[in-house]
Amino acid sequence: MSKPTFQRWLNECIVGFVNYSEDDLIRLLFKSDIQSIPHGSNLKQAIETTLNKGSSKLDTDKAILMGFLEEHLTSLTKRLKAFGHTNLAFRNLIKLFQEERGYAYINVVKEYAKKLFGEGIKSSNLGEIVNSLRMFISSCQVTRPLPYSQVIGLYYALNMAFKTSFRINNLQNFTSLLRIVNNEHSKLPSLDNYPKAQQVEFKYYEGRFHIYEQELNQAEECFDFAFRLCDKDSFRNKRLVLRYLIPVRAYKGIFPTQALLVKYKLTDLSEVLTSLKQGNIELFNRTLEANQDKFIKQGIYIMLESLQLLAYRNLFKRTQSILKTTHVKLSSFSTVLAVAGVKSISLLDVECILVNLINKKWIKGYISSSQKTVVFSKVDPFPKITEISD
Amino acid sequence: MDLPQKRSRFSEEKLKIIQEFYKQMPQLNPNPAMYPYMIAPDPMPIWPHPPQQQQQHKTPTSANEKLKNYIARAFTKCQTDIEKDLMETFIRDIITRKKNAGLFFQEDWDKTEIPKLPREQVTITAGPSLEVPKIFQPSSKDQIQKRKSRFEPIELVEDSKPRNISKEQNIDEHNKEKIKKEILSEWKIIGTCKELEKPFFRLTSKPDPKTIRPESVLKKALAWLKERWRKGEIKYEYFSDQLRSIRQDLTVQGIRNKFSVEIYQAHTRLALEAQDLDQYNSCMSRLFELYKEGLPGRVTEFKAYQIMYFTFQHLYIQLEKCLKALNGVEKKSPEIKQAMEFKRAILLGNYHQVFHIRPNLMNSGNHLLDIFMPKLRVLSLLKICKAYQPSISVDILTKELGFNHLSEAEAFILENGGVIEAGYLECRPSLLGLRKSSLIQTKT
Repeated sequence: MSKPTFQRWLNECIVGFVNYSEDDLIRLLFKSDIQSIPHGSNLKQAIETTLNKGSSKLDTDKAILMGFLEEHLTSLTKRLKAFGHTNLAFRNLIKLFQEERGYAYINVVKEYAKKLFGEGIKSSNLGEIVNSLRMFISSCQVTRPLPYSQVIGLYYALNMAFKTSFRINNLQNFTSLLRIVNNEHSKLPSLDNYPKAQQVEFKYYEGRFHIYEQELNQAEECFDFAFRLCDKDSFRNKRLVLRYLIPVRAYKGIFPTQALLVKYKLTDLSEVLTSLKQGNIELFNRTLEANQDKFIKQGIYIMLESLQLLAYRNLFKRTQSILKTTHVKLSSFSTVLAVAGVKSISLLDVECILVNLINKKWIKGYISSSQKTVVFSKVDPFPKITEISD
Repeated sequence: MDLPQKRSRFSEEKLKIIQEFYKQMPQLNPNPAMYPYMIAPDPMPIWPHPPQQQQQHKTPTSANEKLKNYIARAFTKCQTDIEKDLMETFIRDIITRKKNAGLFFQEDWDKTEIPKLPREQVTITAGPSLEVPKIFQPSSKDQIQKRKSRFEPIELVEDSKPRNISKEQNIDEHNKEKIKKEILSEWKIIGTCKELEKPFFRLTSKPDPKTIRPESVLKKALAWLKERWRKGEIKYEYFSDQLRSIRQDLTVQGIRNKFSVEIYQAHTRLALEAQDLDQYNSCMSRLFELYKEGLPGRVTEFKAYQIMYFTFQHLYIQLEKCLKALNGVEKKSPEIKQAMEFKRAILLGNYHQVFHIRPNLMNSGNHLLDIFMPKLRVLSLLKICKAYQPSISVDILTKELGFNHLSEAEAFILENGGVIEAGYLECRPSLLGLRKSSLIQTKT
């Protein structure tokens, strides 16, 4: 390449890659030598050693790469400084905001909070934002009525705090923050008075929190509310809400139509859900493993894993309807599973699964271990999951 | 200030004529008592002058020059940009401190010391050339004996009083952070002590290098302690105390390498064996910090422990964080595959699978299971009692719940309120008893 194209390429690299983390940089530059560089080590040293090993790269490339990496490293330190300054500035803004007439600054505060969040992501320093956001929230808790008081910014601030805590994967502050708003004795204005966007976001984060606390009924309420209130045209938001609403509803036995999944482009969930409906355990395991990375990133994986019991329940329902007796031998279940292709299931495994199903009240009946049979009740042995009061 | 000149309607000649005309007119002299507003006010300045500088705030020029020289001297010492930034902060600190104390103008800048950069820190090595500080000059034999006894191993008494943990923890954390920052910026200690066993004391200030052991001694100490542990000479509390002192010596000297990783790994495994969850958690957090820096170690083993621990404690958000952090390489390793199977079994409540995997659990996973096993067993017994009727033989239960002998199983069930008749667990009557069992009432 000639000199001016070199320079252009360099400049584009520097401008474009400045937002990359070290891991991504390593992957880009040394696609072949990833495993030789230890994870997270000092970039400069590592690259020097790999270059000096005698690879077939020219001296000009070396110089370019080293210069490029120096720029990257210095930009990281500059970014930390920038973050520190924005943090201080934000806190001083909030002091202004706290004054009597300060509510007029709400739009400035919102913009600045967004900027602070962006800076935090770039410098990967989100944990320090939490304290300044808490200041923001406490400054919003004012008893003067809407709209001429600082309470305008309450839900915006709360949503920001939730966003950061989900990014850091640290939900310790959540309960205390939720208590501010959900308290019966709080004199703060209710959620209805705020714009729809903030309401939807708030309920979305609240629902996700309830999932982690395993309060599935409340989670379903939150996501339902968010989905209904969400604007018709905001495709992305609806999709996000659905991504969590569908597994939560699947626990209750309510499945979405194929049309809905296609409309919102959630087809990776469709196979999983059909396997659940049919009771096809082999397919369920296969699709979960195939999409494991995706589901872990989206935060649904653990929920979907625990839905395996539903697949067993549906399979056993089918077998019982074929056999048409109330007394079913355990061996018949194990043969069914063997035929379906599930490997290495013994009688004891089957017993254990049935014990769990009976405890969840998804099966009405009991197991007699002496006769190795399951005795189903005559009336409604597999009750509808939606009708089970849990 | 010069205001822009107004362009008048009349030329100069005409203005003169007009002025002469007005002079001839009778002059009006209103009575100021009648028309007070006709009195012209004091002449206002056209532009407000800045307030006159008070002599107090003026810095004398000679001091200014000295300051400038001082700053110039300080910056010539710096070699890189980072050092220049550091120097800037130091000088600012000094200036603000002096201003607050009121000594700013009395300061002789030519004589003040330039603040020291980290690369110039004098490394303290105790040697024969240094004088013994005056405080520690033992005179009598008794005193010498007492000072020697500092380094002898102290056996901890087992029944120590329970401490008020919360307050101490807060103060300790605050101190820890302080000390961490100090270590990173100021200290550079190389120890000289050669004792293999040293008790653990929390640091509040800079320690004496004579009490700190260098890395070679620490390695020997670890091997020595491991031998004693194998022979059964020392108990868990003593061993963990010694390990904590080794860890402290490492952090004070700023050593972060393979050996430090080894120590933390050994301490976590030990804590799991002894079912000490506090120590386990603190060790794990430090271990993963070291792994982040790129130090080698048995990463898969400890990530597997984390996965199992979080599923037991129902901390799903941290479990997800764990899972997200797994590489493709790590996911294929046998330890993590086993941990994932285990996690699934616990999520689904599949006790059979759990105890099926148990004999094959790698490394110290068994010890981790042992901590949570009693509660797991009682919960699964409850499930069994709800599902089976009228009774289930205790033989099957021993296999399902991983007991070694029938007698063990019977003893466990009877302890927790179960009802056994002729080798069969009676389901209906045991329900009440099992629900009241103490293992379920506790939160952990």
